[in-house]
Amino acid sequence: MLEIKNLSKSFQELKVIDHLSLTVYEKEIVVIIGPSGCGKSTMLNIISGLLRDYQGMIKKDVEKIGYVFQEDRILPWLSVYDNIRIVKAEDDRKTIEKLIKKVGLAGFENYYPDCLSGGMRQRCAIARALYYGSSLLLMDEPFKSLDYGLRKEMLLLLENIWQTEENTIIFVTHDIDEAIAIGHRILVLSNRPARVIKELYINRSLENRNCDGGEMLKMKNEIISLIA
Amino acid sequence: MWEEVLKTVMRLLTGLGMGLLIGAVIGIVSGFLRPFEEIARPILGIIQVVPPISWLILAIIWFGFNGAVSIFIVIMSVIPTIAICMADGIHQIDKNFCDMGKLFNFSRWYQFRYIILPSIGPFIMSGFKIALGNAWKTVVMGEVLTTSSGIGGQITQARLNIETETVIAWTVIVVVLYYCSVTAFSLAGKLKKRRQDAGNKKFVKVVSGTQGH
Repeated sequence: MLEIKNLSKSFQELKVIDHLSLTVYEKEIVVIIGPSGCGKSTMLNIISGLLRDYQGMIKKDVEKIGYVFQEDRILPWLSVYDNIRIVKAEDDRKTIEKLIKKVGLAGFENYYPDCLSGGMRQRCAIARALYYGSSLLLMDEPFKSLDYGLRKEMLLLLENIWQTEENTIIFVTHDIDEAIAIGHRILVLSNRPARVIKELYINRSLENRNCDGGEMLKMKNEIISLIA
Repeated sequence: MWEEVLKTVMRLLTGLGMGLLIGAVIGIVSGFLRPFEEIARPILGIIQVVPPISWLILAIIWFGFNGAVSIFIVIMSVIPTIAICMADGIHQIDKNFCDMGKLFNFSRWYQFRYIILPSIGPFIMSGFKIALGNAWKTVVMGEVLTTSSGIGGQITQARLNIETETVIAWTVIVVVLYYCSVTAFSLAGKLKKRRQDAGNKKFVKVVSGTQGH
């Protein structure tokens, strides 16, 4: 679905990404983890087409890419319903209502963002990205500003969405627990300039991933040693 | 009396409308094109600083003693306020929202309708309120000095007849008309806010209903 070869990006003198290569297959959740400021968001911005000035090759098999940002970026002057509706020219009320229900915002369609909680705003952003109708979803630390309980709730929601919608998801985070909880494959990036230093596969089902012991704890410790 | 009021209101609306249009065009182009703004800003500064009485005298030379002078000085007082407010509003648009629009392939119309216009809306509102006050002052001043019609013309007549109470009465009418126009202008914003509040109350009902069960 997505192939990146020898991707490099610099901001003036500062090299942010250095010969990064990766492949993302259909219907998988790839988590990209790395230290803060290592170039994870830059990589997503390049994949999405927001940043165009880079070296290397990117091959995409998708027309549209859905994006859930670190900050929700929902428009404060539009209701929840309208924030979702505007990403498509046509107003498909049935689909929007279905998505609103799916992300747990039923009853809040006409509500404005200034009175929604952080979690609700992020749910709205997820519904918007899903309504856009892309099979590839980029998520840039979407639950970073949420507390522990909400974050757990949002991960369950994401898991539920993936099981029903079967999107391909590239999920960027610096939280190891979050990475282990949601990813089928974890790519560990080095400090800036970013390169893939380790690729880890998780074969367990999403419900069976407790970091408190065994294999998962070993994986967690390995990631800590790599990015520390 | 109403005939004279209507004449002044028509002059004000014509001047305000033309000033808004020209100011908006200059403001939008300045907001998006830095080189244009670098040329436009000093010119707008000059227009702002030139005393209305100087514009008035120039307008008398160009247009003669008629209502056109009042319209002209209203236009000159509105243009810089609107242009500067709009350009500043455009500079303040959240880049994150623009990126979001790009990512979701917003058309130019959608970018304008859903991102640019709501972002600069508060700047336009503030600029318009300031311009409206200035416009009322200048339109009456223009009429006082150049024509015998409109509210300004009536004030001149009262001055010639030394009718102090008539001058005060017309001045009070101008103040009342200003407040009426500001209220009418604010009404649209208030209606929108009420609609949002209605949504909020509905939400509170849903939440308290859930807690009650």
